[in-house]
Amino acid sequence: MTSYFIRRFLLIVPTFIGVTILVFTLTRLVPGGPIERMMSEARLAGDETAASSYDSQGGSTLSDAQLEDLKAYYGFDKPVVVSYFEWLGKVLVLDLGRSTRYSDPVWDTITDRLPVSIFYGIWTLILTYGVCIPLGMYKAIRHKTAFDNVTSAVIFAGYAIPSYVVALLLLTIFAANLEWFPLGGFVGPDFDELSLIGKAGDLFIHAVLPLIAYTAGSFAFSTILMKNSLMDNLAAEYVRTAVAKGMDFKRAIFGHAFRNSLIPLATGFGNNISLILTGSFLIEKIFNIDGFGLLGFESLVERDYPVVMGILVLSSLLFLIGNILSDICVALVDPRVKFGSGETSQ
Amino acid sequence: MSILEIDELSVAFDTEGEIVTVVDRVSFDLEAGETLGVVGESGCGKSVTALSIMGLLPKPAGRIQGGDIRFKGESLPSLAPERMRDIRGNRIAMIFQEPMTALNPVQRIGRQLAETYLLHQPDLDADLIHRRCLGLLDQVGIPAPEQRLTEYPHQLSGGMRQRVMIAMALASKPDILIADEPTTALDVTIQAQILELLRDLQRETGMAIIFITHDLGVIAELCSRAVVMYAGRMAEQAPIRPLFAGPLHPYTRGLLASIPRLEDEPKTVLTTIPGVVPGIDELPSGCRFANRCPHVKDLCNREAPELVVGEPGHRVACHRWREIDA
Ligand SMILES: Nc1ncnc2c1ncn2[C@@H]1O[C@H](COP(=O)(O)OP(=O)(O)OP(=O)(O)O)[C@@H](O)[C@H]1O
Ligand SMILES: [Mg+2]
Repeated sequence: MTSYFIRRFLLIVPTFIGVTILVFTLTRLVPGGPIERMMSEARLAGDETAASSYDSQGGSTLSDAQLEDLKAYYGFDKPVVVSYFEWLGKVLVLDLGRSTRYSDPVWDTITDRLPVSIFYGIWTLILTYGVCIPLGMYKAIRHKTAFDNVTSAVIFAGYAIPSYVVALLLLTIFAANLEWFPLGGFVGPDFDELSLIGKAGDLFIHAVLPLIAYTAGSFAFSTILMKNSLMDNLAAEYVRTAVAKGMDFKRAIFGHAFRNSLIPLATGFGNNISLILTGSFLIEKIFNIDGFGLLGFESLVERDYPVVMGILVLSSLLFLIGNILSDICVALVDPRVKFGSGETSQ
Repeated sequence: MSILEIDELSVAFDTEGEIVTVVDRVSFDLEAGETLGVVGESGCGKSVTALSIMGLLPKPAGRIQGGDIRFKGESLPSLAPERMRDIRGNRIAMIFQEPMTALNPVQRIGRQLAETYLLHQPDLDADLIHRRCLGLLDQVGIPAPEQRLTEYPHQLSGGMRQRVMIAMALASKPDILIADEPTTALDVTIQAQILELLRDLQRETGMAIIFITHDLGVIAELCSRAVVMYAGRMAEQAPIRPLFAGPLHPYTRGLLASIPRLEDEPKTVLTTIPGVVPGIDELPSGCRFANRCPHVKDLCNREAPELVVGEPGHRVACHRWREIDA
């Protein structure tokens, strides 16, 4: 099994290169790269000055020499493959280049947003599993009761309504009208002056609405998965065996059915890890949170390719590791799962 | 003295608002230390009867509609749940048809075996439990027990799993073992081994066994008495010899006639009972075997026959058994 996971980790390398080379090439092919953007910016600036002073350079205010410099800086003067490997070489020493928009190092831009995204990501994960597992269990035990039906209606409504609509509704009702929560932002303007408890409270009150918006959609899937999985296992014969041994049903649920019913959920766990960093740009936009979703979207629109590539590096690595994590989780809860090395079971 | 008395037991299922009686006034006794066979075709209510004894009817659909089950004189259906848990798995144990699914796939054999002790003898120390588990596996003929304890069910064959199930049932030295078709899912040689094992264990421990099967051959091999069920009712009950030598009920006769015999000419067409069992929702008010019975008369369609004593220890539910027997 260990050798299986070592092989899986080694496979990350070619997959990672495949993903990044694809996107890297795409950034070259899509019209409107950073150079063009700078040229048009320069032209706009040039138009303003042109009114007062004498200037003509065939529409562009950048000299050919300057243009060549820029191209060389971004590696546009070389074939794609060459500049890709130059980029990759820098990535290996954690140099992601500079943002074409802010000219800050990409690494700084990303680490600036990292705490915000990780905060929301981890809480979404905790809330999803922390709520869905017990809720799904309770629904399974109380199958077809009023409680089961009402919660089903609520979570399916949450699933059916797009998360940005939920976000907008929450914002209008609870922030704008009732003024129970702030209108947005990650923390309040006076955050730095607050005491430790005050800071926690401030963080919390800002996080409530976005977190609801984030999780509303994902509740349905995990809860219903948990419920059905547990119901299947409650009807399983080994639970009857346990009860036939003299165990009471409640203990049989926790002692026997529970772990078995986690297997399908464990399969999805790794993928949820990578969700930590993706975020949703719409929710971030609505709540004015500076997270990864917004950063990724804006850098795409602005053709800030170094940032786009930087985010890609991080999220693809996380996704690949997440997949392996899923496998590890499944192997942990289900002894029947044996990976590789020919020891197939059953 | 009878250790278990089933007295006019009726069991009903509530299926989508409709209540169907699937076991209808079944009565039999079990003597301490004997092996009683319960035989009948699929769906006749064998498992439901067994589950009723264990108090394991699927809830909330199934419930005991009438009658009583007495274990050592104590009425089981009216017992408090905690008291019933003391008896279940401790005084009365049960093994099931499907050894492949009856064990928890994510727990080691050792842990599942030890559980019976933890439930019924919580003050035993871990070391003693471990030694007892080893002893149990040894007793049911599992080689390398030390290693088996650390294995998971999927690492064992079907026959081995059924042995583990039997070991689990034996853990607390029960007075009664209910075996619900324990060999149906196994291949023939393994079947024979398991039957052999059950017979040996019974001799060693002196427990009573209720052996459920649809195979009359197995009954002949293992049991001292048998109950024949048909469509939720008892057709006949007798000690093995009279049952096989002189069956009284036309259904039992049909069953016996349908067993192929070595003395038969090769390629003799097997005798079968014509017709099919009436569906649970279209049961006739008269005798339930009437539509397949070669001896049917008006009375049979009008009135359900009561279980009467034909010969000593031999009971039968047929209006015409005397005439047929003659
Ligand atoms: N959970 C249930 N809900 C509704 N009806 C049931 C349920 N379990 C059993 N029954 C019905 O009760 C009747 C008796 O079933 P039972 O399982 O006792 O048969 P059996 O004699 O054990 O048959 P087999 O040889 O196939 O095991 C059947 O007609 C079946 O349809
Ligand atoms: Mg059955």
